[in-house]
Order: sequence, then structure tokens, then C-alpha cells
Amino acid sequence: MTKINTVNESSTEALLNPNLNRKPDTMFKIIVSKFFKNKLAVIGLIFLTIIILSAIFAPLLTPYTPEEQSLRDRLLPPSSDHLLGTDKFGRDIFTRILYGGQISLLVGFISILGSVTIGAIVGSIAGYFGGIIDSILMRIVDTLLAVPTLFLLITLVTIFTPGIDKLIYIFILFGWLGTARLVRAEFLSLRTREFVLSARTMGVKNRSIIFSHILPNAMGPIIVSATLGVGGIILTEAALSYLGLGIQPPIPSWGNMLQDAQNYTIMLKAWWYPTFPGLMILITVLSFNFIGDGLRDAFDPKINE
Amino acid sequence: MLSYIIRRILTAIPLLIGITLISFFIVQIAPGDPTSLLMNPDIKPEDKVKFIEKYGLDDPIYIQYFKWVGNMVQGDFGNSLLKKGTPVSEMIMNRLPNTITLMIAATIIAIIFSILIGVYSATRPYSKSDYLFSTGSFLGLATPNFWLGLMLIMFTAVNLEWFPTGGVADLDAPFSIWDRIHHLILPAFVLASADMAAYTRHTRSSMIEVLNQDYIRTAKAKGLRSRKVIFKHGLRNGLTPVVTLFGLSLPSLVGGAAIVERVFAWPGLGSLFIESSFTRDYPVIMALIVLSSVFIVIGNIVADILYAVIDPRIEY
Repeated sequence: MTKINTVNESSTEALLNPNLNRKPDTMFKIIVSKFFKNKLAVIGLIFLTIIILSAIFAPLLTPYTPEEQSLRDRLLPPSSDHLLGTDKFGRDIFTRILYGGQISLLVGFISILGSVTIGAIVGSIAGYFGGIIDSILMRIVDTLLAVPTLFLLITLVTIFTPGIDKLIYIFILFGWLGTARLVRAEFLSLRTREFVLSARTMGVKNRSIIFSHILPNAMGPIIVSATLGVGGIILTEAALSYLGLGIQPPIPSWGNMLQDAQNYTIMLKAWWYPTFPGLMILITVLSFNFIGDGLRDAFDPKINE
Repeated sequence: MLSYIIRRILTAIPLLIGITLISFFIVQIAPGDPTSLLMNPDIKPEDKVKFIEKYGLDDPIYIQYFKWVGNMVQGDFGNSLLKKGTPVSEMIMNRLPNTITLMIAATIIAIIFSILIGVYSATRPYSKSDYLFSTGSFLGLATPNFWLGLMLIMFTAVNLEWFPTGGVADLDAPFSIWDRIHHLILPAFVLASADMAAYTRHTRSSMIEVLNQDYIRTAKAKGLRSRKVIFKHGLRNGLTPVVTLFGLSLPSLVGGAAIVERVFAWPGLGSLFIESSFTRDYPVIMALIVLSSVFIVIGNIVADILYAVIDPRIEY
């Protein structure tokens, strides 16, 4: 036994090129380095970091509060006192955008966390067990996907009086469908692999196979869809708030600021009022999309720099 | 092919049943009973009983559901809770032409522009103009369409006065087709913008793939003019993924139409839905959810069939 071993070791050592003898990079390291080589993704990450930090530290960045009215300072153009001008109640628009960002990002992140969790659980169960369970769950998903989501959201929001918490529940309720489909498709291809078979023959419980053996392998697509999903939720929240069905004034949100701004006189005299909140939505969603695309390429082993 | 179409329609039936269930029960969970919405609180108790009997509100819930579906199949969507009980179908028919006009115009704009830009970019990949259009479609995907609408209203309608700020026609002017088109341009363009961005990216990537195929090289080698190669040999194959995308984007087209109609005060079904949500006019809400879903289901079937027509290699 020992003899064979030594022979094997020496022959492999001889074959190995010294350069290949180093420890291989971990999957995580490869993905991170691929991500940071993608210019757009890095730009997105930088912008998003700035946006998140300035939303968190809003009280330090501005001398005003978002609800502070000053009727003498109505509709002032951008200046050193009011970086992005003031609105029709003399409130500082820069301040309201920062505080509005807190709400939009909070709603986006919590909703995506909730809906991706539900989607991953439903998708894994459907994909792993297949058969009748799969059919029932996927028919439910198909049906919900056939109804225009915005209509369902609007109906539910009007049935329950709108508020941040209810908005998040409703986003979670309809947000998991896409993730469920995606995870199910991943599971369908992964569940027949050898490592799953070997885990099953060793008597590992189903729950443990699903969550500790298969799910980690499906993490790439899940993270990508979650990143792109935050942008989608921010857009939807803005649309609902614009319609007056989302975040309610006086709490500022990017969407309800735009609702205030749709007025003939304002549009004629105060271009900054409808421009900046929308620009903020655009930059934020664009950042999430860039990061999401960058992550997709980074997770894809077929794409090499 | 025919058996595929029939099978496809049959699988849509459980979907439609599910959709009616969703829209029925979503309204059932609303707090408060329907009588409180409808009548003044001082009504005599015997009148209230009459009302409940008339609308079958004391029936078990599943009977109410079947009655509702049964009436709907016969084209009776019930009456509005407001507006003196106008039939819902009448309200819908009044608004339907406006929405259809808007959607068709938007779809035509989206398809024409995305094919032109997509093909143009695909024939010059990684050129400056390709980057310019790619940036444009990235921006288009991230722009909230209601904000794009607001910006266009602000710059081109309010300040430059090139276009009207909203509505379908000038109120005091006689009917003219030019006036209608003049009102249609901005909302149709805004509604088209999001889809345009998505279609352009897909047309571009699928055309790049197709243009590298052997049969394209053969066609070129035969000496065919490059325009003919691109549009006759390339485009038909490059369009298949875009057709699927069209089916998938229908829900967002319907939802997007609602917001765009609201921005431009366009009296269509989307703005009817939003108005009814504010006033909690449940019969209208339920009817519109069902109708828009049916439209989406049918649209998806049509997209699937079109897919087979465009790509003869697909067999069912």
C-alpha cells in the first residue's frame, strides 16, 4: 500500500508544472474578480453605494427637514442654498429626494428579500418533487402571471388603505412568481445530477438535499434576478406613489413628488421640480440593472472576461 | 398545427377559471359589506332586504361566484355602484376604442423602431452608433414611463407647445384625423418606449447570431445584395425570439397603458380602472381585471402560433 502511494505521489509531482501547483482560486474569488472587470457594473455599484449612503446619512447632508415648509421660498430654482431648488410649499427638493430614497430603497430591499425567499421555497419544492405538486404550484404561478400585476397591486392597495408596511406585503405577495419559475427550472436540471443521487442514496433527508445541496448551486441566477428585481420594485413603487396609491404625503417618495409636480404652472416655471425626482429613479434603477447584468456575466462560467 | 392550436386553447381554460377566481375573491376580502357602499345609511330596513335579495347578496359565496361568471359569459358585467348604476359593459365600450388605438399605435412604433435600430446595430456591432443605441435602450429600460411622459409634456407640450398636454382631441374643435394623431403621438411614444428598448436589444442580439450563420454567408457568396440578405434571409430568422418577447410583454403593456393614460388624461380603460379603484367601484374593477387577463391569455396564444408560422422548423 505505502509503496503504491509513494509511486503515485512522485509521478504526479513530476508531471505537475510548478505554476499549477498553487491553490486554485475559490469560486467566490473568480466571480468577484470577473465582476470588478466589468466597467458598467462597477459604475453601477459606485452610484448605488453613493445613493444608499446619502439616503442613510441624509440628516448629516442637509440642513433642512423633508417636511419643513417655507412659503416665502416657493418654487425657487437650484442655488447654493437649495441645491435642486424648492417645491410648491417651499420644501427643499434635494432633502426630500434623500429622505424619499430611504423609503424607496427600504421598500425595494425588504420586498425583494421576502419575495425571493418565498419564490425560492416554492420553486425548489415544485422543481424537486415534480409531479402533481409541481403542476399545482406552477398553474398558480401561471394564473397570477396572466393577470396584469399592476391591476392586482392597485386593487389591493385601494382595498387596504395604502401604507409602507402594506405596500411591502403586497409587493411580496406578487413578487415571488418570477423567482419561483427560475428556481424551479434550475432544480429540474440539478436534481438529476450525481451529487443529488449520492446524497439520496446516503439517506440524506429531502429538506436537507433541497436547501443544503441543490439550492446553493442555484444561488447565481437567484442573486441576479433579485438584483434586477429591486429596480423593478422601485419603478412600481414610484408608479403607485405617482398615482397617489403608494407612499402617502407628507412622507416624501420619488413617486409622490412627481405627482405633486404634474401641474401646468409648475411645468412652465419650475422645470427642476418634476425633473430631479425622476432622474433619481432613473439613476437608481440603472445602477441595479448594471450590477445585475454584471453579476449575470460573472456567474456565467461560459463568459471569460 | 391545428391540433396544437386546439391544445393551446384548451390549456387556457383552467387559466381563465383561475383568473375569474382571483378577481372575484380579491374583492371579497375587501372590508365592509357591499350594501354600505351603495346606499345611504338612513334607508329603511325592508328596502335593504329587498336590495340584498335583488342582487343575491344573501346567497352562499360560491353561488354568487357562479352567477357572476354566468352573467359575464353572456356579456353582462353588472352595473356600476356609482354613476347611477350604468351597465359596466357600456362604460367599457365607451372607453375601449381609445385604449385600442393607443396600444396599436404604441406596438407599431415599438416594432418598427426596434427592428430598424436592432438590425442597424447588428450589422455594425460594437461601432459608435451601436454603443449609442445600446445606451439608449439601457436608459429606456430604467426610465419610469410616467416620468418620461411628464418630461415630454413639460418640454414639448407646455413650454414649446408642439403638442397638446393630454386628452384624445381638442374639446371645441370639429373631428379631424390630424387632431387625433396630434394627440396620440406623445402617449403612444411613451407607451412604446419601454418595449422598444427590450425589443431592440433582443433583435440586435438575435440578428448578430443569425448573420453569422452559414446560410447567410452562402446568400452573400451567391452575390445577393446585402439589403436583401439581411431583410429576407436574416430578419425572418432573427425575429422569432422577439415574437415570444411580444407575448411576454403584454401584461406590462396593459399595466403601462393604465399609467400612460393617467399621465396624458387619455380616456381609456386604464384610466377607467384607476378612477374606479379610487371610488372602489368593484364591478368595474372585477370586469377590467378579467378582461385584461383574457386579452393577455389570447395574446400569448397568438404569439405562440405566430412563432410557429415564422419558424417552419418548429413542429408540434
